[in-house]
Amino acid sequence: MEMKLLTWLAEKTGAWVAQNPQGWKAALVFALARKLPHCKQVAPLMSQAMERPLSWRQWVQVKLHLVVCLMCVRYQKQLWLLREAALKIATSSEDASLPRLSPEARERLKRALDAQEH
Amino acid sequence: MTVPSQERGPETWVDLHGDYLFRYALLRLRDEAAAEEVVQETLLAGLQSYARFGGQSSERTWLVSILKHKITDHFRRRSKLAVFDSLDGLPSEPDDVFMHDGDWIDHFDAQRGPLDWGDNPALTLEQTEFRQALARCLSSLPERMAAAFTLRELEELSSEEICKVLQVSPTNLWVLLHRARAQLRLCIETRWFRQPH
Repeated sequence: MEMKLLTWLAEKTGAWVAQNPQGWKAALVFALARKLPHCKQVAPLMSQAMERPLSWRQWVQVKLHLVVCLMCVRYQKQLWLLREAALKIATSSEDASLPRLSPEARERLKRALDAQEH
Repeated sequence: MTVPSQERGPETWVDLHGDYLFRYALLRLRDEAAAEEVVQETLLAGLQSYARFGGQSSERTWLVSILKHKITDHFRRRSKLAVFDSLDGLPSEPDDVFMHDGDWIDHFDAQRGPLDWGDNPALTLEQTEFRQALARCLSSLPERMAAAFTLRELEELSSEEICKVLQVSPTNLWVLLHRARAQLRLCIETRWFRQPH
């Protein structure tokens, strides 16, 4: 009966239980997690954690949620990857395949500089 | 430190650095006219303070540091025009990725929830096409969300500074950033990781 429940949970939530079939401990964690907020409430907290330290309560909520939710584990990794990617595009202005000044804009800028200079 | 030989003064700026500064501004402001405007402001400000430019850095680095200020000023002006602090009218997070039945197990929709981005998504970041796709996703965000994300992740300003520039409370900034990240994540996943390329 217990194994059947765990198998069902594993199917539903991904690899964690399958890798850690510690019986009642797993069941306890899941029972606890069930009392905690949903992904929808955890997602903003994962974003906030990138801005400031969470309160201990929020921190525990997120950590426990991540134990049982493969999707949120992914989500969190992807948020941090997005941060890394943003830094990459921030320094990509050398990339010649990106838009250039139009000839007209170039002329306007030169004229503006000239006018100021003389 | 000596001034590198290619530094030939203001007359050469448009030709040497114009495209670079324009791209830098365009990525952040997402509008060609606005980008041209801040580039012009930058060049004129550079001209005025050129006497004080001691050549400690390259001209380009120096011009970019001016441009960064002009970009922040642009966001400051915009936030005075539109009331950035109100979250009214702002699209909420793309919450159709969540299940509505409240069941704790399946609350991320299996079809629309986060996809596995593969074993080494960091490699993806090296691809020019990926970065272009991300820039397009950024340009599709609503203005306030894009401004918050740009200042935070591209310009790397602190939350406190951004709150001052955009005139938003910290709580609202967190909401803006959360929604921006959620929407960008979904956009890049839809346009990149679910597409064959």
